[in-house]
Amino acid sequence: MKWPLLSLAYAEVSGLAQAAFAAAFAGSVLLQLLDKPEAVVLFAVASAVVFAATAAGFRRKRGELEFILSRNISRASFVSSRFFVGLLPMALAVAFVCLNLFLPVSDSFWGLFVESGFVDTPDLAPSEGLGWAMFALFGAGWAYSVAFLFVSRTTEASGMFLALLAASAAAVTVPLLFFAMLSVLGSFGLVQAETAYDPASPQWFVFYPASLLLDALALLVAIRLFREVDV
Amino acid sequence: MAHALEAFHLSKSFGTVRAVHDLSMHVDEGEVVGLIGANGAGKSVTVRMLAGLMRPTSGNYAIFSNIMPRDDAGVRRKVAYLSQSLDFPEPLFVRDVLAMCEAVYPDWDKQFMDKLVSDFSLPLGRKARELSVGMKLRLSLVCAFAQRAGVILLDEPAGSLDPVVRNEFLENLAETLERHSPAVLFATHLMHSLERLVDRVVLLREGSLAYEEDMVNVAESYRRVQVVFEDTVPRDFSLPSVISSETRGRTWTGVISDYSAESVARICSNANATFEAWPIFLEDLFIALHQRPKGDRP
Repeated sequence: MKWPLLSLAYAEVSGLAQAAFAAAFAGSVLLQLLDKPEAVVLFAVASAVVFAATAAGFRRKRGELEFILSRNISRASFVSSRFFVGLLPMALAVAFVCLNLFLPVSDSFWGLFVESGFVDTPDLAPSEGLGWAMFALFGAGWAYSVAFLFVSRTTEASGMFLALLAASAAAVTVPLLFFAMLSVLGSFGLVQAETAYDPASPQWFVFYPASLLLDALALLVAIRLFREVDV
Repeated sequence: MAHALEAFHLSKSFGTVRAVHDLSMHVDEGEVVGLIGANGAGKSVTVRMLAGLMRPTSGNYAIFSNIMPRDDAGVRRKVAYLSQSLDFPEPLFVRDVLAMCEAVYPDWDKQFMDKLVSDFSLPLGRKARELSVGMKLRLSLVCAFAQRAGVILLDEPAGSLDPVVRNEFLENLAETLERHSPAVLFATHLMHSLERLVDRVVLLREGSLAYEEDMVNVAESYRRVQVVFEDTVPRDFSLPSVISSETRGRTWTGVISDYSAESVARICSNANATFEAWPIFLEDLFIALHQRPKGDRP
């Protein structure tokens, strides 16, 4: 991948860095009002879809595509640069929000201005917090990859909404299938059924690295499909 | 001379619409070829395929004898593409566009770039996207020449420019071509843009190659001939090598290839008619060829 391409992609979607900062801040403040670790996962997946839509909406700018793709630049580099330029700020935002599982980040923010007293940090064991944080991060990564793949196929603004819906559904499907698989395996006594829904359980720590393979697969499919695209 | 660019049986279809069909052609090193044709003849699709922006439905092409896989960046660096529909990424200033091109082209000629930027009065500190169409084309031209492209593909670059700006752009192009000699394929339906630039013309008709000719030959052998009779034009009157003709009252007018003054004079003398002949413009030839039935070559 060529660095100028990354910097171009970053320049084009530089709003993402600001969005990541805003999301991290807002997420930290709002999520602690809910005092539920599941809210972190919801926030992560929602962020993933929004960041992917911004990074992958390149086919709507046909003149720019003509300029970039008629350079000495491969399509694989182009798609990859857009993928990572969106993924990185999203991951940072989610990671920052995940700190709320362990630390009173929100209280610190509020404390700059006022001692609000109405926010709380979930009372989680470190391993439990780590499980939710991993679930949020890797789940967001998967949601991002799927949303990126779907959105990178769209050329119309109207198609974007449909792509996001489809991507959200597809992103939710994999963890659900994993739940289902653990339940089935649990019913045969092969894994601990009672921990199937616990993201801190050892079985889930198998899923997290496996999801990276799925992310890579989604990126490869996005590249493969973009190679066929006529500009 | 070696072929810089070759197309082998290129075809492109969009569903049931056949945009280009079985097109084989070439551009030699240092040669400027005009790709002409009516709107929808398949010029842009051809150029886009050669630029790697579109994938041929069948057939392939070669750049400096390298059969092109789509993402062959090593060979792609020898190709430049200019089009009026091309635009620059929103956040980039002119200097950023040039810096980006410099970073991706290993043979980038910075000295030549500086000279062209100065010659074309390009404002480095302005956003590239906010430039006028003419300035955008000049910026594209700087990128094309500074990258030391061996093949330049032009897709209607000056189509919607006003005559003054178009003329300036073509002047810039002609001057730069004098200093460098890349192979150029120039697709346009504005024939007068081509007249002073091209060595050869290739006519596309309904996606297929209908005709090709050297411009030297066009200048030497092609004429518009007007024959005036004392009475009406005989029904079976014609001249050798007629591409197209029309009759109005006592006057027969035609475009002919392989013109010979002696031969025409003899025929007219026998028919008791007078004639005049003029060199033709590319536009005359284009119209004449379009008036011919398809598949009927001179």
